[in-house]
Amino acid sequence: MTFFINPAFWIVAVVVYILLSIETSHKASLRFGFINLFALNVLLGWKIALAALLAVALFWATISFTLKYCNPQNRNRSLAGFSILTIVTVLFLFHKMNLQGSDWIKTIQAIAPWMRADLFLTFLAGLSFSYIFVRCADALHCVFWKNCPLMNPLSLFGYLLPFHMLLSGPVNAYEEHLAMDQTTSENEPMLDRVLLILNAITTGLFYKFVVAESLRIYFYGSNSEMIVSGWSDSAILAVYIFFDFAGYSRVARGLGLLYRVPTPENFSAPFLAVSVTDFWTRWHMSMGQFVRRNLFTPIQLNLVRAVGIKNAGWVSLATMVVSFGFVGLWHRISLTWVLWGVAMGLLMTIEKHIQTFAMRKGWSRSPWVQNTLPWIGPIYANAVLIASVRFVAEEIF
Amino acid sequence: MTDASLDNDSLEKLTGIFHVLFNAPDLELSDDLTAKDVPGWDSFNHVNLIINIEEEFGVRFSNDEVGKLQNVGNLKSLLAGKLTA
Repeated sequence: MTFFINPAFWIVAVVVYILLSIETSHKASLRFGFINLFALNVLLGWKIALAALLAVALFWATISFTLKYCNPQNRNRSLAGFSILTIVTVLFLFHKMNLQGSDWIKTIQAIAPWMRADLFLTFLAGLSFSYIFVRCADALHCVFWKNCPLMNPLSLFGYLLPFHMLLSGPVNAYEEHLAMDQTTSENEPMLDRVLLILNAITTGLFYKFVVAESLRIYFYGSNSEMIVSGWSDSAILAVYIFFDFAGYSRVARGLGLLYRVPTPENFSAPFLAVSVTDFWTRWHMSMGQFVRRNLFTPIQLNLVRAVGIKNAGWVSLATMVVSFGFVGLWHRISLTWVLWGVAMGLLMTIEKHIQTFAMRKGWSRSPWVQNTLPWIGPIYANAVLIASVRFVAEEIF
Repeated sequence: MTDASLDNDSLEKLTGIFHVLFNAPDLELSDDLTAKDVPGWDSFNHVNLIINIEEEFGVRFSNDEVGKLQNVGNLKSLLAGKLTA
């Protein structure tokens, strides 16, 4: 988050815009990838930028080599894609175990003194940006299972490590990034676009530096940590996280609009959600969409086909638990987060059954329900949010 | 998506599936109808809708096709394409 108070970030943001404004015959994704390399070089240093580029080139070469030997009709293609995804997932999980300073690293160094643990951990740290991991997964899903074309290495670099979405997302979709090469902007009203960009960036900064920081300083002081010791702390933390995270997302969205780089919306008034299911379509929306396209829909579709539509309700229980179990693990490898994910999945399955029952009985169309739900729903959804924040509070930061 | 269009018989069957699944007997399937316009049309019922259509019409949609559907117009032309193929 300190990126935004670093003047270098904003100077780079302006320079990137100027460079992108220079018309060339190259594809938009390639130009962004190249200029993004410059941005990361300035912001993170040439060593990290070069290491990131090499890692992306290795990822690209692995996919490219695999695709060369597996045409779309080849049954081994899925297996090959799954193998690469497994390797990326293992590396991601490996890093998420927070190995720095652990006995495990000391043991490895005792066995193999020649191994540079610092380099090894730096490599894993690249994947600690959980957003890079989910983008890798989205790219693999699109290329191996949906037969999307593989971007060139520089375009892929711009997709996987966009400097304006590096720390807190949102999760941009591979297909949308591919489509930026086909997008034309000739008929788009200039004033509307400028207003949208200004609105996103200014409200984002307001959320982060005025609302979120005021909340933190007012309740905890300028140098204190946010410690959750009661229900009110959980509520404050939930509101703080929203303004902090949504603020960052809105700035990234504004810059994405400025550069014409697909950068999805991430929040839509989540505190007005009428159920937990509704909440997750409004909070961290890009992650929800990632889970829906890559986990929920494919798993649910194939399982329901296998067991029949009469068992769809039970299948949804397994699919929800798997999908939200993943979201839990994505946050952190810990029992707390796994339980959080499983509980969310269970809760949403129960909601689904209640909603289906009410729909079949015609209750959902009754005026009483339609008038009451907008009031009772948010109370229930926010109560669940506060309880869940309390549950994972120790492991949020 | 293709430019093929559904015949009346198929459109009636498709409408019937929507009526039963969403318990909305008055629902009209306009091309610009989206999930947001129909109470209960969430990702869970989207899968149920697809499976119902597959079983009723004897067709099969790929995961990619299911994920790309934006509105009922898309669904109609996709289904029509499958039926005429």
